[in-house]
Amino acid sequence: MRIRSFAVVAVVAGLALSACGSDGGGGGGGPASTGGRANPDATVTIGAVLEPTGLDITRTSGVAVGQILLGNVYEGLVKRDQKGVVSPALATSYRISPDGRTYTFTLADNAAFHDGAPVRAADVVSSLTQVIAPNSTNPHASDLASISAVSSPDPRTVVLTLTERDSGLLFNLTGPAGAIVRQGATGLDGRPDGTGPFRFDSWRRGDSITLVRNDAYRGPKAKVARVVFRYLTDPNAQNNAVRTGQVDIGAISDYDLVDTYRGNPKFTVAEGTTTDKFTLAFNQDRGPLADVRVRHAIRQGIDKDGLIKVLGAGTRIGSPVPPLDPWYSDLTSIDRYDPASARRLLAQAGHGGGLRLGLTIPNIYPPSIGDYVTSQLREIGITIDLRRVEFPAWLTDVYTKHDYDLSIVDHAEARDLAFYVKPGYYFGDRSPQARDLAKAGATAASDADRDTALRALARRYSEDAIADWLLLAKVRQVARVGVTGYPTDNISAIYDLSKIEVVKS
Amino acid sequence: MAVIVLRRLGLLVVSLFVASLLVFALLRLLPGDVANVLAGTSASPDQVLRIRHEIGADRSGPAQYLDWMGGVLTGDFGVSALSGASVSAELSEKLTVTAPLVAAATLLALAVAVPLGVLAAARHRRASGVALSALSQLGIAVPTFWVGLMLVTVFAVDWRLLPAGAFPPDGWADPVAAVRSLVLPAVTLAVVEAAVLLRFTRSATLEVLHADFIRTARAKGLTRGQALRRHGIRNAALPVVSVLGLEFATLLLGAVVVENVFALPGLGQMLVADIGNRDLVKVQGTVLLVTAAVLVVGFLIDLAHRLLDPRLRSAR
Repeated sequence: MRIRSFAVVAVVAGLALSACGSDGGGGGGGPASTGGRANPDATVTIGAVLEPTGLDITRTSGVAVGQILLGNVYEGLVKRDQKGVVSPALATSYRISPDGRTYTFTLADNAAFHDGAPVRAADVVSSLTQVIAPNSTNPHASDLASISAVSSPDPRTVVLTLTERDSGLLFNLTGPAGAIVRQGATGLDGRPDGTGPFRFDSWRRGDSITLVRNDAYRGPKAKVARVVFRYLTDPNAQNNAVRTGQVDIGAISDYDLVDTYRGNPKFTVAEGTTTDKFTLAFNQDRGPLADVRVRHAIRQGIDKDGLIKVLGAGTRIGSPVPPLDPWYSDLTSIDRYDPASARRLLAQAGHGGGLRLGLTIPNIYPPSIGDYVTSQLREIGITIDLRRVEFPAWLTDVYTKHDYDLSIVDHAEARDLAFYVKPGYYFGDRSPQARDLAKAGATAASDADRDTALRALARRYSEDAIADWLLLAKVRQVARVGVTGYPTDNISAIYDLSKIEVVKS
Repeated sequence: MAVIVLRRLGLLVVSLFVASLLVFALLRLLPGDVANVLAGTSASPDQVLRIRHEIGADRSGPAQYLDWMGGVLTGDFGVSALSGASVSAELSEKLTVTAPLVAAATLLALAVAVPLGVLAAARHRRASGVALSALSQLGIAVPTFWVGLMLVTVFAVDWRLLPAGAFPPDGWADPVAAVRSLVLPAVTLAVVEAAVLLRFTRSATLEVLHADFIRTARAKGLTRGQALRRHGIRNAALPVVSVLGLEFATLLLGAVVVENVFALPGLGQMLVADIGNRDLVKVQGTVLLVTAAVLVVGFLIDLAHRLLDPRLRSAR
C-alpha cells in the first residue's frame, strides 16, 4: 500500500513519492559530485525505514519495492527523475499518434537482462499484457487501465493501443506497472532480474537488501560497486546507525535530531520534498459528514500551521496537489483557519449543541497528529473518539468497508488526483462535475488542457470539502561527508542510485 | 524415571497440539486481511478476491488448519503469503540471531546472578549484601529498552567500543562482526534477567541458611560456608531453576524489544513485522516455534528438578 509509506514518522528513505514533472532538472539534490576522486569499488549503505513486503514487482503493493528496484534493477520503456520528469529508458524514442490512442516505442538495441539475454519486444509485450490482463493480480494494474492492446510489429518496436487518450500514461509507465520483466520469468521474488544499472544480489529479510553494479549496463555505469539498503524501523536505531557510521545515508525523522547534525563537519543534511499528503478524510456516505457545512467547519477549525509546528516540518497544501505538479495552484485560502466561522457553520447544520465523531488513524503515524486534530476540533464543539489501529485493520475497516467518520492517512502516491473520483472510493460518492473534470484531465489533448482541467478539479475538491489536507511532509537525509549524488526529492517511490559517489578515503 | 519422562513427553505433545489450535484460531480474530495488504490501495475489489484465492485465504478455517498442520508435521511451515518465501527457511535464518542472543543472555545472567545472589544472602546483614540487594531491585525496575538505549549511547555512540547492533549482512560468515554485534544486546537482556535471578538466589539461599538441616550440620562442626556448600546449594537451587524456566519466556519476549532497539534481524523483529502485515502463516509458525521452545524448556526444568532432588524422583 503506497499509502503506507508515510513519512514523517519513519521515513527512511521514506517519504514521498515522486512527484510530478515540471521544470526539468535532474533528480539529485544532495551535494554535488566531488570530481575525479570517486572510489569505484565503494559500498554505500543506505538506512531505510520501510522494507518491501516482497520483491516481485509484478505482485507487491506499496512504494518500498519500487523505491529500491525501479530504475536501479528494473527499467520501464520510460523513466522519470526525482522531480517527475519523464524521459526514454528501455525505449530510445516514442511517438504518439495525433489522436493520442497509439503509442509507438522503439527499443534500445543493446539492452539486456542481467543474465545476459537481450531485451526483445516480446518481453515488453508479455510484461505489459500481464498487467492489463482481466485476471491480473498486479496491484498497480489500474495505472495502465487505458491500454487495450500491446503488440510488436517488429522485434524492435512495441505499439500500445489505448481505448481513449490518457494524459497520465507515460508517467504511469515509469512506475511499477511499467517495469519490464523477462517473458516467462518466474521466482521474481527471490531473484529480481531486470535490465537496470544494478543487479540484485541478496535479501536478508528484516535486515537488508544488497544490489551490485551491473558492469554490462548499456548506459553510463553506476559509480559505486555495491549498495546496501539497511532497514531500521526504530528511529533511534536509524539515528545511531548514522552517527556511528553503520550507514552512509539515513533519513532522520525526528526534526530535533536533525539539528544536532547541522554544523557538524562530518555530515551533510539535505532536505527534500515529498508527495506525502497527510489527509483527513471525511466519510460523506453517512452521518453528519454528508453535510458539506460540517466538512467546511472541520476544515476551518484546524490550524494547519500549528500542526506543522508541532511536527517540526511540512508544507501547507490546500488540495491533494503538491507544488511540483504542473497543475498546482495555491488553494490554501479556501477554508482558512477560523474557529468562529466553524462554530457558526456547525450551528447552521444543527450541531450547535455539540457533535461526536470517530477518528480512525493507523498507528504508524506520529501520535501527535491525532492528538492535535482532536484538541483543535474540541475547540469548535466536536468531540472525537480517537481510534488507533494497525495498518491492515485500517485497510479493511476504513478503506474497504468504509466503516468510519473521520480518518487520517498519508496518501503518498504521486499524481493521485483521479483516485478520489473512483466509484466506491472510501471518501464517498463524488459529484458528477468532479468526475467530468477528472475525465477531461485524463483525456486532454494537450498539457495545457490537462493542467486546466486538473487545476479546476483540485479546486472542486477543496470547495466541496471532500477531505482536509493537513500537510505535505518533508524528508531530511543525513549523509556522511564524502558521499554525494544521492537523490533528495520524492525518494520514497524511486531512489536513483546511479549518481551516488563515494570519495576515496 | 523413564515412565515419568515418557508421560511428560506425551503431555508436551498434547500441549503443543492445543497451542497450535489456539494460535491458529486466535490469529484469525485479528482485524485486517493479508489480501488487502497485498493489494494495496489501488487494486480493485475483484483483484482482492483473486489474490485471496491465489494465496488460499478463501478456504475454510479447518481446511487451512489441516493443511498447515500437515506441513508442520513434516517440518514444512508453509510459505509467506506476502513474499512466497519458505517460512521454515526464514525461521532457521532468524534463529541464527535470536538463539545465540538468548543463550548468551541466559549464561551471562546465571554467571552473574548465582554467585552474587549467594553472596548477598551470606552477607545479608552487611552493607555489601544490602547494596547487592538494592542493585537487583533497581535492575528489575528499569525497562529493557532503556538499558539498551543507555548502552548504545555510552558504548556505541560515545566510546565507539562496540557496534549498536549491525548484525553483518552475511551473518556468521563473519564471526567476529557477528559476535561483536550481539554483545550489547545480550548484555541488555542479561541485566534484567540477572537482577531477577539474583533476587531469587538470594532469598532461596537465605531460606536455606535458616533451615534446620543447616543448623544440624553446623552443630556437627561444619562452618557456615561448608554447610552451605555441602547441603545448602542443592536445596537452594530448586526454586532458582524453576524461576529460570519461567523467565525463559520473559527472555524471549525481551528479545523482541531488544532486537528492535538494536535493529537485529531476529525472530522477534520478524514477528512484529509479520503481525503488522497480517502474514498469518508466518506468524503462526513463529509463535508455534516459540511456544514449543518454552514448553521444551519447561520439560527440561522438570527433569532437572528430579535430578536435583531425589525426593521428587519417586513422585508421580
